[in-house]
Amino acid sequence: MSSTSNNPSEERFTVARTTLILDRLMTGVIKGGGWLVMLAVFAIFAFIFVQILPLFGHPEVKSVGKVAIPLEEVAVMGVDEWGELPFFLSQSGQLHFTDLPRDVETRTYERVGGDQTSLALGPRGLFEVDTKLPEKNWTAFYYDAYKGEIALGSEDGRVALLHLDYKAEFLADAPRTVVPQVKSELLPALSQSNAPVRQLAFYESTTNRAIGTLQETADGETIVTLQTYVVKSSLFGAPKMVADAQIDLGHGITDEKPERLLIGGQGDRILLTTEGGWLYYLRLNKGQLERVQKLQPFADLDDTSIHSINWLLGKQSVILTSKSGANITLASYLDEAAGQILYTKIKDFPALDAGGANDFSPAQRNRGFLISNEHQLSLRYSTTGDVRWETDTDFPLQKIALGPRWDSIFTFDAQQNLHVYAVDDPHPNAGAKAFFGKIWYEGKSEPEYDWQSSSGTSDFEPKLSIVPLFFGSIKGTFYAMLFAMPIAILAAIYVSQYLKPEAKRYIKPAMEIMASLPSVVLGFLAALWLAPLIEDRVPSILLMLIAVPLSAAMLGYFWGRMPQTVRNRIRPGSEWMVILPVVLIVGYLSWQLGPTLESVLFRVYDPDLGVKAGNFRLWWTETTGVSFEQRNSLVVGLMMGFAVIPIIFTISEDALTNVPPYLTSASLALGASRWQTTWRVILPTASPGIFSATIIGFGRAVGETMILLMATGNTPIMEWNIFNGMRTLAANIAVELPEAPQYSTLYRTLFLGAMALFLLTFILNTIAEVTRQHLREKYKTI
Amino acid sequence: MIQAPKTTDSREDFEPFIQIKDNYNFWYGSTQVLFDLNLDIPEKQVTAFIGPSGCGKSTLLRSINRMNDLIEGIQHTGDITIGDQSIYDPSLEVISLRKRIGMVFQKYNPFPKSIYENIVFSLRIAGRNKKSELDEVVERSLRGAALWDEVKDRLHESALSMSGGQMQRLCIARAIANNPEVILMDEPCSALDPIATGKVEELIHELKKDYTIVIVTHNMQQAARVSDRTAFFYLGKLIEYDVTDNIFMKPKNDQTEAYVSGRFG
Ligand SMILES: Nc1ncnc2c1ncn2[C@@H]1O[C@H](COP(=O)(O)OP(=O)(O)O)[C@@H](O)[C@H]1O
Ligand SMILES: [Mg+2]
Repeated sequence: MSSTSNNPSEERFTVARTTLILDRLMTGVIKGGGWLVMLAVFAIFAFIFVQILPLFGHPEVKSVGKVAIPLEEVAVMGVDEWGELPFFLSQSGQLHFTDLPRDVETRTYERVGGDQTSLALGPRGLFEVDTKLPEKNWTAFYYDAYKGEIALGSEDGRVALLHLDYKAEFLADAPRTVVPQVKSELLPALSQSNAPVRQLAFYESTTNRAIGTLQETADGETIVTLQTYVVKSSLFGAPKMVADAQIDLGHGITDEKPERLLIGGQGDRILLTTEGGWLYYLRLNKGQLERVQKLQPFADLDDTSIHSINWLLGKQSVILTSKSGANITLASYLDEAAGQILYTKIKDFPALDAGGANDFSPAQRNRGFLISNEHQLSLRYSTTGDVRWETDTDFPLQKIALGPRWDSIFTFDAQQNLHVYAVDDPHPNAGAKAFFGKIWYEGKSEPEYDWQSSSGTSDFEPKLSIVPLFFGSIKGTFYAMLFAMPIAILAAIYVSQYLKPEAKRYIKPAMEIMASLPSVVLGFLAALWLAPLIEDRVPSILLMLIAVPLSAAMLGYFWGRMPQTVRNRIRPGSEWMVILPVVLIVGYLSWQLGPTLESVLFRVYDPDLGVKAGNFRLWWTETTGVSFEQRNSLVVGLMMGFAVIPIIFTISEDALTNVPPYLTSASLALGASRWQTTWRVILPTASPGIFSATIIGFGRAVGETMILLMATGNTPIMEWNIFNGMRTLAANIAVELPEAPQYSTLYRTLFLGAMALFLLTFILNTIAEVTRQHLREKYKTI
Repeated sequence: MIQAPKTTDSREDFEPFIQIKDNYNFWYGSTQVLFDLNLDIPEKQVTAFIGPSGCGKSTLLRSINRMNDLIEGIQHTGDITIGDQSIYDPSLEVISLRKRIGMVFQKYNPFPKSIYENIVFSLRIAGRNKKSELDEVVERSLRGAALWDEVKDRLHESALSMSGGQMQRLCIARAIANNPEVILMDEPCSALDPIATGKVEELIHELKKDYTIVIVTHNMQQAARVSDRTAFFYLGKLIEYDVTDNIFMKPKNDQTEAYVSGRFG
């Protein structure tokens, strides 16, 4: 031992340098690790937050510029997919296109002039395309932007059709050019009248066609006619539309003067408005006209007259404005009482400032629309009843058109200027109302929380309420906990307090195996084995739920009555030898007696058998009025309970075992029985741990995905009914992920679901921790 | 092997209240820790068990209220009687036996409840919940444990807020709340400071008017101070049992003498 000091004892007290360095190093590493974990959690939170933030943003609409279009009497204006070739159809039937070059990459327009507010016209300039229709004075127009169909009605009672298509052409040395393609058809004269066509409605599919006209005769009479066509296919040549029937829509409407009309459905639903502000819903049923409904949409206003009526995408909703500017959505829904489709008001928008709309342009990919009157230009969204954006223009507006991609707005004002606005609104159907509010969707009979993100058709209205998903998570967790909590905690009490300590050597590993079962296996079992098994054995399970605990309690009672000499034969810790056979026998008997119980208690008329028979499924549906599904909450509760039990059990058992033995001794020495000791001393002392266990189990159940995904029907319904399923936040993410393109509304909404899940567990854990600390303080031991 | 002396060797003659008899033997599994014990404990006196660590004092004490039953694999031969009733009588419920015997442990072990609830625990488990009765028992027990004046104003505070000595006296109060016949104390002062120890010893002196007390102690002075009779154990065998003064002044056995004079322990 070499020492620089004379005092030999000093070295004994100095700590070796390596010890110190190692100590500091390890402290640093551990601290760093802790901070990294916190950082990671925060980063995940921040990432999710950034993903969902745009959902709540407002649209950004910027004026891009204007260009003078010297055209008179523009009747219809529209725009192509790319926003490069707006068209103008004049009342005399001339069709003009404007070449507005747009950069393919940056999607910006070329601008000229010092102030940079004028747009440059492309080489084609303003050019006319021959429609090949005879020159006529057209008096009525119908435009379906989604299909590119224009119907024209003339002063002499003729109807013509224009079909507008755009094609992108890629020429050798030029960038992509959009080229219009126009087809036209002048229909044979209507037999009825050659009076001027004032209003026009049009419907066409591959199999039929319907044209509605409103004509005004010289003596001031109004004739409303529906002309139907069907496809006749011949052996040679293309199939042809041939006139089928002509129906007088105004028949029976004598006291009111028809004003406007729309055709929907399969060309068989007609909405006809009158000057008095009434809306008739007429239906063509096998060539027979039925008047289904008559309603006054603006009955609550002084002036009830209807100023405009237009279809929204999907033709399930119509947007109406009143003379005074009130703006509402009417939608069809299935009226249960009437047993048929009816129309009702589902949305109320803020009124337009200066009276009814003078133009309207529906969105072609969602439930939005652009509406204008005079100086007011408003972008609105029907599902949420939201005004997305609004502006006052300098000059009165003549015509408006919404870019098909919801990315641009075109207006044509009284100064004959075409204005272009760029719209940046990636998530028009999102927002707090859409996610958390009750919404009256098209086709529904009342406002509700609903989730249905996609469907087969492109004109479908997405329903993005996460409330039913949240409910589903809570419901699944509730039933799982209902099953798992009592079993796990009672088992923990039994194992820690009653069972022989050696038995733990087998039980703990068994529990660990149970915990390590992949949830996909459990879900698989639940869906393919348990669900069908339970389906027709519900009475057995009910019987078991009652009989097993009851028989156990009764056994306990009689056991207590037995003479001490008999009881002493069973050593403490081996009571299961007495109770297990009883429980097994009673369980087996319950299982076997279930069908008998069913045929006695749950007798209903069984349509399959044609007689009254015991059938719980039918009985349940008949008695409670709610459905019975094979993959239901009971199955989920049992299987997810199975997944949660090991967690709750293990942590609770540890907490119970960790209660200081001196407390048990104190209690027992005072003459308390084992149960009294457990109930009055052990349980309160272990309560913080048991509480934690429950919350951790809860968190596991809330986040569980596979079992719920597989063992439920994943229907986002909001019912506590134990015999139907649910869709949880977690399962929803798994289900929808493949259908969510990156950065789409659905994609971000799934993140919103993830955030809800994250917050749910976060809040739960926080409450749990606070409560646990409180309990721990209260029941802390020396 | 030294034969256990007969209790009749004592100068005083007494009616035994607790009898360890018929050569009481005790095993933990296959390890025998008590050998052929025969011992009579007088009523309303303090009997001390002394001896080196591991000689089986606690085991014997815990046999008296059958606290050892909780341990797997124990066996015994012989018998213990309290007031002529065997504690191993098959018709006797162990719970009712323990209700008759209070126990105070080496380390004070109040429940994490209020002072009040600690004391009334034995009543509550017997289903006695009448407030007036409970109040009365709390006061009587705390007075009995010489704790009343110190805690009467904070009966509903947590028992864990008291000092160690107070907690141990609370445990004594809790043990006497149910009016037991016997109080077993296993080194009740080993975790206490000298002042608290003094108080507990005074208390033991008071308590023996009403209760039969058996105390295990490591501390020879304490045995000498508080007990009327003392039993000296060595390696699971009873070496000598006599009036305390005799054990300390004129032990008959060499080992006893060596132990009490501090030559081993
Ligand atoms: N629960 C037990 N299981 C097995 N052996 C035990 C147990 N408790 C005590 N012993 C053993 O029994 C002997 C006597 O112990 P104990 O009665 O506690 O002695 P003392 O109280 O005199 O110190 C010791 O050898 C001890 O190791
Ligand atoms: Mg001891």
